[in-house]
Amino acid sequence: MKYPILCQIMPPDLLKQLLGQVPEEEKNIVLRTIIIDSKMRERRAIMGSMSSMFPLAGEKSICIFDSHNTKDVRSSTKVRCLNDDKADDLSANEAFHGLDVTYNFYENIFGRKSIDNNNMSIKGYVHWGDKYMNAFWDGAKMCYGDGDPNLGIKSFTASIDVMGHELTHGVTQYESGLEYWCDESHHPGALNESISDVFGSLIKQYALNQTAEQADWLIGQIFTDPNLALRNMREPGTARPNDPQPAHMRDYVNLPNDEDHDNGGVHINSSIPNKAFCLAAIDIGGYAWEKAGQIWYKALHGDIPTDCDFHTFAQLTLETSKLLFGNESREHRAVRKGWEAVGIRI
Amino acid sequence: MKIYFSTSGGLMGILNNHVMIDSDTFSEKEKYQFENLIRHSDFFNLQSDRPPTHGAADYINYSISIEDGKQKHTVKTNDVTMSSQLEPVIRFLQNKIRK
Repeated sequence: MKYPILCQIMPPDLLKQLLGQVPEEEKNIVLRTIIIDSKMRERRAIMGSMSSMFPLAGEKSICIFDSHNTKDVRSSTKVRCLNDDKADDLSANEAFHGLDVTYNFYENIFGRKSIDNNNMSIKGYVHWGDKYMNAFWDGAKMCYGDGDPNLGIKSFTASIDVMGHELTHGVTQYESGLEYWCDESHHPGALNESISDVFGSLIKQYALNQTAEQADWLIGQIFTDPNLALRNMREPGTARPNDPQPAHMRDYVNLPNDEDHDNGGVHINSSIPNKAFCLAAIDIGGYAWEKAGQIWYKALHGDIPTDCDFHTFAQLTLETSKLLFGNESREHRAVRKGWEAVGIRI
Repeated sequence: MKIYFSTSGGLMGILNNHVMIDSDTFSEKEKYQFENLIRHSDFFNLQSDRPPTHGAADYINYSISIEDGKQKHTVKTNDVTMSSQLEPVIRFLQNKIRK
């Protein structure tokens, strides 16, 4: 199983040469690698050409805007930026704090400067929409709804891991270009979601100074009932009533890849890599961002196929753990065990 | 007028949450308001939006189908590419569902 990641190290000419040399039954694997490699090169070229479209701050820059319960950026007003006093608005202060902690986490732990590693200005829009029950990343900014307490949902700024989750979608956009869909044999959307949950949870643990064992591994405690969350990384399927997340590959939820089914269930099957990470981090011990987090971040930083499947990503994390900590090190074994526990044998 | 409204996706991973609303159940004021929104948005000539690109995530997808006599039209959109014409229609329907 070495072919799926050949594109990390081999130039396209060598891949094409290899195509003429491998046995007939392996030609398809090399051909697929060439296609993935060309897709990644195309994506890098596009992202590179787009960088001039985003204003670069030059140094750390975070600004929070009030959308006044509309979905209109033009009528939004700036309420708090870096070095400003606290705003007279709880959501604005929560969003600022969450994004500030997230920036500091990425800089202090990974030496990363903002979303694009080039100090792109971080923009958060609070009071987005009318009782809007969601938070999202639109490719350039984050938007947070107020929720509706009458329906048991709080403001999405109340949960620091949600801040980290959304900003990490931006990091993934710049580092891997994982596409936003899933089917039976490709899982880039669920991996994209899982990476946001992993770093969202690490940011919460970093803010609370918790070890992997102490952490609750819950994502999105945005419900007025404090016992509920959107997702439970340690025990998928138990975060709330009717939680649809599977804990093992045998229970993978295969949904149509369309707009009516969460693009193939990107928020459903993300629990499989979530649990693998959580188990590896607990097995390694200590602060999860120090070792397991480093492995996942370095793997994300590498060349991931834009239509990556769980197995290929698992293999990348295993190889990264070996590179960082050594063959058959505690970390290397913990990563393998984590993936095996969710039914992914590498 | 029959309105079929569905949402999917978002941070919560909603799966095809759909409702059917009959405008006969609207109050006179609501009926007037909604018909104005449909007219102003030019709903029956609107095209569906393409899914967002460039790394966007956790946005909600919306689908609105309206049957009015012989006319029937469906428009799909999402939080990222939603037009300012369609936004008030979606806000109206969401408020109606919450009531």
